[in-house]
Amino acid sequence: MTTLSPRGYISRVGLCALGLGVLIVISPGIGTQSASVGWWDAWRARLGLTIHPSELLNRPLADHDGNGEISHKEMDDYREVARHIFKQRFARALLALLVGMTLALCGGTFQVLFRNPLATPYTLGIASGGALGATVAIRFGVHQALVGFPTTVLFALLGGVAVVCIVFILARGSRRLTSNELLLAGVTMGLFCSAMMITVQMISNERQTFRMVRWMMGSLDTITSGKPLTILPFVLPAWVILIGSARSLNQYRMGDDLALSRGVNVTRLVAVCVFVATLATAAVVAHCGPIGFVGLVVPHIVTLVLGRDCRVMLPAAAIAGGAFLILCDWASQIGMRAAGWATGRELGSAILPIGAVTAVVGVPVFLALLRTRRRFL
Amino acid sequence: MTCTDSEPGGQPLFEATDLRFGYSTRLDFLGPVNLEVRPGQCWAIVGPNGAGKTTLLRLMAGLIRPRGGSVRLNGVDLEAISPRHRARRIAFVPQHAAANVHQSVREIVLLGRYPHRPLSLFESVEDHRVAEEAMRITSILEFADRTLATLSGGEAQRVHIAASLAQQPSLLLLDEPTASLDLRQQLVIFDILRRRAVEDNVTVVVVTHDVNLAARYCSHVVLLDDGKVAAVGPPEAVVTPDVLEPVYGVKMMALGGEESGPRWIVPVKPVSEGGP
Repeated sequence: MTTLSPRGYISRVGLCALGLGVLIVISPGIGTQSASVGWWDAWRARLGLTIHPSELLNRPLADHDGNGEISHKEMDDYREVARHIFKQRFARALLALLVGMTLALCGGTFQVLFRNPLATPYTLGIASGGALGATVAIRFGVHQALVGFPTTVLFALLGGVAVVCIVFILARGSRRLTSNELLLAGVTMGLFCSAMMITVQMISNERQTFRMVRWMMGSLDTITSGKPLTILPFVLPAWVILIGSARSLNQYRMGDDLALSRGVNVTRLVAVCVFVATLATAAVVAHCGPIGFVGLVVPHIVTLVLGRDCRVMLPAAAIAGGAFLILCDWASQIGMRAAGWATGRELGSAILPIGAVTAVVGVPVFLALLRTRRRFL
Repeated sequence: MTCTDSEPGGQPLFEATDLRFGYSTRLDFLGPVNLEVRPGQCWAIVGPNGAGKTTLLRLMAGLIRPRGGSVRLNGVDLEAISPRHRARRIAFVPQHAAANVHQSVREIVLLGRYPHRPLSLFESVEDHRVAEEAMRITSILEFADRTLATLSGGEAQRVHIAASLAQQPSLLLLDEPTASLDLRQQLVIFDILRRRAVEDNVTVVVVTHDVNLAARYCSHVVLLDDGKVAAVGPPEAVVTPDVLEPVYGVKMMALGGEESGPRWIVPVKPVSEGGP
């Protein structure tokens, strides 16, 4: 563990970013859609470059005819399909990227802020509040969109933010709450929301209950049809401010008094970080449901490999979280295809909920690292 | 009670005038305190538990706001100085500095450079040079690349002192730096502090329970009793059985004298309440 130099920074964060870039570039080539289109063809179709029949990476149309000849019409169809598939797969990868980056970054920040390795982005009750909001929206069947958002999304967003507001109103007062008291308040509010959710489920019909359960699993499907960038205004401030606070967070980790004596405004640091992280996490939960594990373990994996200097840990956790969720999404699609093949059923476009995959993929990696690495959490 | 210093030290580095502080449960917890600390002096704050030693130190560090009176650094009110500029002048080592930190000693010492480079993401060559010097002074260079959590209590305390020295302060405040350290480590720490005061003209203020170490290493001693200054002055005047006995409620004995080295105060037995 040496100190950070510009070269060390570039080699660590830059390498992570490079890996993520590769994933994004090949993302249009991976997915369940029945037509198989290579990532290179998909990119060229998207960018409007001409594709000659002889250059196709894999030649699905040629097999169709049997003679290896591709007509102009078939070629046009192929280009159209490639464009369509690019749009679907790329949007999905982009959403996974935004969500994974945000969750891992907020999780890593909360672990530093609360000085607790078990903290996650959902610790303050954002996920439970969001789930309660979504449940209510599903139960009372408000289907129409309000101010441009589907009501489920809007209610979940409001629910998550409301719960954190309540936690902080509880925490306000003559004396500052210790981080443990804040955590307890958050966990308690989470339990309260879960209880309310069960109550709402009890008075719902089967279809509604099924939708609620599906929502709770977390999924990247919700806005594949729409634009993944709708959550960008919510998550971008968190990225900029949290990564920008890395040096102050390094001081904060050494204790409140020490940080104060070095000129860090501790109260403001905590308030601003929690505020932007809450907004970003609530937006993610509202769109994709509570996707677990990323926010808890990805920061730890990054810490084990790259050390705990926040200047490296936070951006690297964000990048790793994005990459991790993209990989998990692919695993869920491929896993479903394998399941379909094994059971002999046509599961086609069905996709395993991402929330179920993150832990299955991440746990072995994390436990292996925990055993082999000498560094402590 | 003002300690009017006989030495011609010029302008005082630090002044507390009619300084008061209170908590919501006890508004007149501390004060009034009047102090004048000059550059290069080494002060000890002593007193029984709960006398307000740590509170006074935190007020001096600007971590909490006084309820009355003022704290001035080079004649400027501490509240008028921005936190970052204050941090370039005053370094503070808290009593329970984090010990279970899995970062290398060098990283932790470099954290002390924070107030000096507000904008750059990386430490400069100058930062590394200052940190290296701070580690040399505190003799922690040999384990610069080990993590803090693997060090002993005395070594960890020296790391925190090195980090505060890397801040290049003109006023260094320490809260019980020798608590729970063995005899040798206590002497090592006070020796480091004394040298900074003498060689680099750093003003040192230490809260300590060890009146003998305070008397031996410090040029001035403040004795606090229940939030009030009970005595202030050079150690020969303050660290005597006559002054300490009523404050601590302990019968004391002085050993040694001028010829056979410094005097040592030995506590004998608690004075029973109201008894003879």
